[in-house]
Amino acid sequence: MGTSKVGTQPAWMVKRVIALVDCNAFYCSCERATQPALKSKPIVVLSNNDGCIIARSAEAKALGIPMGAPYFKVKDELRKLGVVVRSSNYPLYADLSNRVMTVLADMVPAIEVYSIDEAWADFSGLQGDPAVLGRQIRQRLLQWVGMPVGVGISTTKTLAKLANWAAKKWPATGGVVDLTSPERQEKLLRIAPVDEVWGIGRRLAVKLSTMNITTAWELAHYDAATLRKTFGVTVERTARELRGVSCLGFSDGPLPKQAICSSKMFGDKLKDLAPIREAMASYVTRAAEKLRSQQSLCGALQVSLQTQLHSPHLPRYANAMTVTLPFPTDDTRDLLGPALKALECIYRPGYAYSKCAILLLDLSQRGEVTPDLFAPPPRPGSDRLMKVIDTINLREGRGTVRLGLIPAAPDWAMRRDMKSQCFTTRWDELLTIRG
Amino acid sequence: MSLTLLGRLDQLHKLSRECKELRITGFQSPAEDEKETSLSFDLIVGLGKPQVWVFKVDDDSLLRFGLFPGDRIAVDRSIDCKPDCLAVVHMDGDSQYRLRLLTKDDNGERLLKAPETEVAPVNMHSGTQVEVWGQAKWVLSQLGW
Repeated sequence: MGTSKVGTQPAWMVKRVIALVDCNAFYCSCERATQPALKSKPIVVLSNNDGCIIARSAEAKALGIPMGAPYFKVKDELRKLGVVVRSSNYPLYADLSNRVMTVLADMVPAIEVYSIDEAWADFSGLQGDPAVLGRQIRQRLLQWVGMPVGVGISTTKTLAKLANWAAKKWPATGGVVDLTSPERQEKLLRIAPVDEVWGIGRRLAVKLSTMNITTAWELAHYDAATLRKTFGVTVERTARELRGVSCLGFSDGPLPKQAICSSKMFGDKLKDLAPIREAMASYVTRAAEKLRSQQSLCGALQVSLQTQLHSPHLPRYANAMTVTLPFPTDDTRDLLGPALKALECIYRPGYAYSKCAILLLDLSQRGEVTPDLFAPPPRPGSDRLMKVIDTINLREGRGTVRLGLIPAAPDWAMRRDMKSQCFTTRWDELLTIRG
Repeated sequence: MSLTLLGRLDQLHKLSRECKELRITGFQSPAEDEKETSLSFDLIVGLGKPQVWVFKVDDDSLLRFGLFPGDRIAVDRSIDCKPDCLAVVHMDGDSQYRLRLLTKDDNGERLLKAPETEVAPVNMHSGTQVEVWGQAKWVLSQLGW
């Protein structure tokens, strides 16, 4: 970083400066970053099972394609408009997200990854113009990763988020808005609609409008006690953050999850128990991998099964069962046995099921659990076996070593008919080059 | 699956978590102070860095650059390409990434030369829309199984 160095003032004297770096239409940008033919074409990305539109490029938005539209309803229109359609390609998105965060972490003292496509960057104590650093971040991410981002900079997270909104709304900003000065804050707050404030959704905005709060400025300067009494502490905190009072801390990393879920819609509706058992085994395996990756043990699990609940013409059914495990475990086999038994209990023949799920509950960190003297002993060598399986699957690809119940190419797997290749994570799907 | 080629020591550390628990129970190694890290293709190529991307040579059109079909090329996007380097480019309207030799003509203007002489060089100042995507830094060829 040429222009910025860590200052020498004591921590209490350092003015807090936070930037929100947010990727523009992230999923579409990932597709575009790896496929040059998609440059400046309208793109949409579909949800699991190619259900509905979950991401739109700026060109697709300009064509009036609505977010969340079911694909089967807009399929013909998309074809007529020449819109490129892609199934979601999460391995690609995860890799590009990782690249974005790595670049960012290298340029600022600390980052907090907020989601797959946005992160907070701590600019506090850096000397020089924050906007210059913002532009450097933007330029580097575009050059190195091919990822366009907006950068909003301010003194609180809520203001930085609003600055980011402004950076994306007005192209003349060059994608970077520095909102650290009170004068600029006032200027933006007076014109920003209240529903653009972080944490204020459309419904809440309607309620606020009955109190004559329609802009961010009006929310910021409303009586805090009334806001707390009417809407709770979250809205009060938001108003304080808009006034420049920092209420949301900067966390270094996420805490271990309190529950772990694995669930996906089936590619086709399933009536028989056998393929649902296979799917359940696959989801339990994935959940157990997540469990082990955060060094946790699971004390209970919940299994659920449901039909398509929005189809009025088909018989509907949904049920769930929670099972307490005899001892906390992270062994896939010890989780799967009770999960399958629970599944058999809640399964009813005659329904066309669309989804099953596993939820791991009562999580505790390894080493923090006092073993029950009267509980059955864990399987010998369980820890080592799980480590070996995880290591092999990490190296050779997920599912290389798996339980025999799970087929290599299941019929019930999610439909992703228009998925691009995993250009950055699979040797056999790399980007190609010619003369 | 991540793309990794690790040196032996890194491999041991990465692949066997138990190695951290290994203890020397007898005599300490006299080589301990002189120990060096083993060679790593990952480190030298920069694999795993956010700016490094891997391409596969798709056909025999790059033979004149010494690249064979199936070769893997590591491309660094953080480098400002200078004359006499192999640049990965994307030309407007093309659906394919191309490899070009970046060079200068007699007037000092930058040219992109294709491996095949029958393909006309592209003058980067001529208004042709060319994006220089990155610089090809390393090639990985498989010589045998």
